[in-house]
Amino acid sequence: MQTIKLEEHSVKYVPISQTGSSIEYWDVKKFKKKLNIKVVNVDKEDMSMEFDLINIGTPFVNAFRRVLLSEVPTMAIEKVHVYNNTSIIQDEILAHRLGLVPLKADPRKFSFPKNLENDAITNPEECLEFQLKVTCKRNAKLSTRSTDDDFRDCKNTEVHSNLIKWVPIGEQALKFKPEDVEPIHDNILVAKLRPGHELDLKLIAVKGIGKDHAKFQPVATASYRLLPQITLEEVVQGEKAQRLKASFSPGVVKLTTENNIITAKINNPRYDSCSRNVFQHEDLKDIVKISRVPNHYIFTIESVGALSPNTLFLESIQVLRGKCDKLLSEIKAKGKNCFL
Amino acid sequence: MSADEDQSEHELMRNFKLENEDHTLGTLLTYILDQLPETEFCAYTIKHPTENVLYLRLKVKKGHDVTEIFKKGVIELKKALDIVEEKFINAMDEYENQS
Repeated sequence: MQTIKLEEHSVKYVPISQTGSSIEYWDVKKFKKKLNIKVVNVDKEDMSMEFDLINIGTPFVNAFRRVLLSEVPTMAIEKVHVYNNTSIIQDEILAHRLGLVPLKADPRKFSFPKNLENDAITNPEECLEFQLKVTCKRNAKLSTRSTDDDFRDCKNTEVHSNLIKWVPIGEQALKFKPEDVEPIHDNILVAKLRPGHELDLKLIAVKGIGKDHAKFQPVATASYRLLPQITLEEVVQGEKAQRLKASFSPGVVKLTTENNIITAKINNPRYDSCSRNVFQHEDLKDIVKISRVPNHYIFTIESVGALSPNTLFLESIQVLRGKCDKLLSEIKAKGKNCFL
Repeated sequence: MSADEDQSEHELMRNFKLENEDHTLGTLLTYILDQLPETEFCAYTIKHPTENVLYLRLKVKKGHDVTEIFKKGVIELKKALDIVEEKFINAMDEYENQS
């Protein structure tokens, strides 16, 4: 198998037949035998994960990425009923900001709204209702202020996402707990108020997909790259070794000292940014060979927080399977006249 | 070419018009269909980015049915997805057992 060689100013073309993903005839059994998936890291705190997809075609990896970004559903605020808004932020801007607040609600427990044009969605299977009711007032007891511009004695000068309160409709109170559906982050600034300003809003969240609006995206990023491979053709020692280390991302090159001689060793090429900085050093240029392993994809998912990244990946497979089922049912229904 | 031959040639190829689909399914389906032994030619196009329609052209080798091969492609794709899912779940279990 040939690797994809990264040269100083170019990437060397490798014909697909030599990358190991050759166009032999498709065989599911062979696909199953060759495919290797390895979870490298799951960060529960950050809701992110990294895993390796080995010997899978690029179209698959790219399809998973595209589906994660634009077709795996989440819940987000879609309708805002403004009963009162005397703050300086306009209704439509406020509504847009509220829409972008990520919610903890599990989209799998809801269905897509049948009539999104309808302003009052009330079906408990289709929506979540929230309330945001805030008034900014001066506290008479704390009249320590020197001027009218001093708002330190005021309550609610900043409206954060923790003030968005869930209002259960139908039997939702039995199904969910507030912490299951309310905003993921408590400290998102929604609006700023001054004494006398008031917000009284009813918020309706529905299930949607990223294709429709970015607020429905379940991931912050979902991306993939090929595994880097770095080899040294000669032993690199002394000052040269230190320059070599500095030309790569942290952790890629390791220096070992023996009898006062520093020797460089390639330790972990996985996390190299492939900046190719080494090629700036004339004396190192020809010693280092940088390439990428074709067919070894490093896939990274960073969840926004509603679902864990591994669940999101499974959901993306489910979405693709749904597409296949849709095609199959059309073929079944129309036979030869399908998709005309 | 006689009329007979001309017609049979036509029966081997077809355009599939998939509405509300994009490159996500386009690349995947052509990737699979292209590798099927029955396929002579397979490619897709999205004629205009604002138009939500994907056209997939498929030509099969003599003695096969286009629609059947298209169906086979979709089924093979589904099987592949099942395999990815299974392996991913296993990998996840393995990771959790380790830590």
